[in-house]
Amino acid sequence: MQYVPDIRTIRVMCTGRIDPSMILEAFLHGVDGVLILGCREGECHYVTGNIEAANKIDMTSRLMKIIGIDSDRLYFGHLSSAEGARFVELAEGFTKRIREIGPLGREIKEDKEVLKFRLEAAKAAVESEKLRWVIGKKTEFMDQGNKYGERFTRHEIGRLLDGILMDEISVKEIQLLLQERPLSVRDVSERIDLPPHRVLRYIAGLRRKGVVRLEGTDGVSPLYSLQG
Amino acid sequence: MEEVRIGVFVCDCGSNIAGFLDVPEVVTYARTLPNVVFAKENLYSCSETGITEIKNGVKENNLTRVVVASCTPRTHEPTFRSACVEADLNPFYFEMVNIREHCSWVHMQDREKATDKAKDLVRIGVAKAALLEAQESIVANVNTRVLVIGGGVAGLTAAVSFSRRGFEVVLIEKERKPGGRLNDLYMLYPYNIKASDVIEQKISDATSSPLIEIHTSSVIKSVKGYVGNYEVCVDVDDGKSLDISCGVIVVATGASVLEPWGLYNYDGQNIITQLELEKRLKRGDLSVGSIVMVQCVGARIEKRNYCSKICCMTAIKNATLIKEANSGTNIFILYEDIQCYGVEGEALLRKAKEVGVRFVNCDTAKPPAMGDRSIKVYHQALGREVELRYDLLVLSTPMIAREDATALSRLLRVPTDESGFFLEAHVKLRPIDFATDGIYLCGSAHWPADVRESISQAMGAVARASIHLTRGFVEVDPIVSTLADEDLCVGCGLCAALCPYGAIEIIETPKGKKANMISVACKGCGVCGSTCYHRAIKMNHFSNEQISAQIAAVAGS
Ligand code: SF4
Ligand code: SF4
Repeated sequence: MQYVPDIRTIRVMCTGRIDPSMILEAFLHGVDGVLILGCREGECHYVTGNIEAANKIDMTSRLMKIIGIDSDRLYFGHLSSAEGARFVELAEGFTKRIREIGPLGREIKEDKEVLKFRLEAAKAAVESEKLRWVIGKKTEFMDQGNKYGERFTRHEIGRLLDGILMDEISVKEIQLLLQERPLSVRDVSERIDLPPHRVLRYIAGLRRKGVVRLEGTDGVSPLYSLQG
Repeated sequence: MEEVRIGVFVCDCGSNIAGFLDVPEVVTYARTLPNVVFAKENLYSCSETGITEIKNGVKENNLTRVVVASCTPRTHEPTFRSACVEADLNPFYFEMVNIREHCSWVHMQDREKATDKAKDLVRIGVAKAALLEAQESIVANVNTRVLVIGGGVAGLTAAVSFSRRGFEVVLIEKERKPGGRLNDLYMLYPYNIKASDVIEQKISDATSSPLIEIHTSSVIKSVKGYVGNYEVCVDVDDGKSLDISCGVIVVATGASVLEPWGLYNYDGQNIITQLELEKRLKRGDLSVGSIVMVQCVGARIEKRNYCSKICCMTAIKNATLIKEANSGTNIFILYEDIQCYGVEGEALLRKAKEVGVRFVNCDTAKPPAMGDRSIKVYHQALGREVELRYDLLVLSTPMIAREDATALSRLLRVPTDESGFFLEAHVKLRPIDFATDGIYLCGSAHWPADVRESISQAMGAVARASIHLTRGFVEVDPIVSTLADEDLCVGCGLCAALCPYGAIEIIETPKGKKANMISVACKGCGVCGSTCYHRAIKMNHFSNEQISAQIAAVAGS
């Protein structure tokens, strides 16, 4: 049994240990792909560890799509520890796919700085309380419904998640920008390619939470900066 | 801060590793890594010489962390940890890097790339080693009292076996009297023993034991705790509630039998289930000229796709008994497949045929149709439809999971399968354990089981549970979660909701609601650690910092 020598491994007790921020951290360090391997569905050594992992990984790949990174760079494969041949198949298949896509960042044809900026915002976004609750409760919402007895389909949960992800990533991008220097809504809007009314809404939210404050004006437009 | 002094030992594994990658180059590279003060090649790290080299290396160089780059941790991690202990190092100051299964064996044609990969893997291991922390194993006492849920043949057998080993047992039965399903049955296959004889013996053994306390008409209300220390609250007979402290729990709640309303005009009068037939046989008031039995009624269909496994033998046994008592009775058994596993099963089938029970093989595609006091069926062997008249139509229906099994499974935090039966930890390796330590399973609560199987499973569950009871304590690997920063925790409960082992509870503290990790129950999966958005949880030996350092090391920094 032989396979491509391109993969470097990090051992964890269970795929359930993997925090979405670890995946983004790996991309921030410049790896081209993250292959997560765990027990077969329904056969998790830690009962539901790989289900929790699947929810987190699915969320992370949605986020990757949003920030323009090919989500094929993240793959969750399932196999038992007795399936060497399957390991080879997964390792080879994944490596082949990554070779097709090319080095990280190629798909967005943008410079390293933009890539880093987006990944950092994404990494901050996955710390969101709301997101963590939605992915934590995803299986329950789909199987049993929420506390109002509403059951969600995979599609509905996906839409809900995408909405929250869009909000969270935008908010974090704005925070990252304001960290550099005070900016107006228009500046921000241009930098992250988001309509001004949305930027304004997020900034208003951040001001309510006391994260952002008004910091003078640029002509007639107010400038905002991060609170101390 | 103590100085981190890492020693790296790279194993040749004879030629298993050294044959396919450049070990000396890996050793030289290791010396350049941060915190590495010593690196050495071993011919066989796991041999006595290798172990001595490691121990001497630690002593002579004041090493505080050890990395061995060799084979899989599955075989030798314990060996190397012991070597560390012998050299006065905490066993968790050891990190293993697999450059055989993950490298030399799988990249045999590319020596250069394999060497590069081995260097990278060593770098990743060293990055983690620098951040390793000492750990101490976790020990808890075991309460030797036992709770058995269910007073049928499985539960009673378990209770009696525990008591014979000298353990106190509390047995909880939902019905007004113990005995379970056997109270309804007539004779038990394969040797036609009276069910009442068997169950009365079990009941008398249990009730006469001073160590067994039986509560009937009782239902479990809540379960808290972990292996060795469970606190169970039970609603007992007289409306009172009873608190039970116990170390282990055996689930022996049995199963129900499907009542096939809507199928084959089932009415409980002339069209009855196999279970109702047993009751009539037991009362001795059965005199009919013709009986037709139909197998797999409501079983092996899309909604209930399993074989209940015991119904064929039950039908064969009942048909034979009736035929032997009155050879004038006509008996037909309509079936698709016959399940009569085991040596005696086959013999009983033959005997049924000898005494004149007639078997008709039906076609799934052409199911029997009801007539007036008759049933029409396509006879495969004759190749045409035949009409069988009956005075009594007996439907063999499957055992199904009890309706309250789901509620109990939630209280115990153990899983059920898609049919609602309790699900074991591993189908072959741990067939009578639950994944949660300290909870065991026997009888038809798990899957339709006959009396013999229920009894053997009960005895097996007792044997498994006794491991904890006789040892008197449980010791677990310290790779568990800890609430590293109590102030960060807001007591939101998300970690507790997702823990697969019920190892986290939310408690009231002077600082408000906080998570409390029950270390002995924790398996170290890390789900909680990767879930907490306040970063209050730390996973021992797989901490965020350690994993982050490894991620950085993958990229080369
Ligand atoms: S440890 Fe984290 S997830 Fe658990 S209750 Fe505390 S804040 Fe919530
Ligand atoms: S590590 Fe796993 S088993 Fe342990 S408390 Fe966390 S979720 Fe539960």
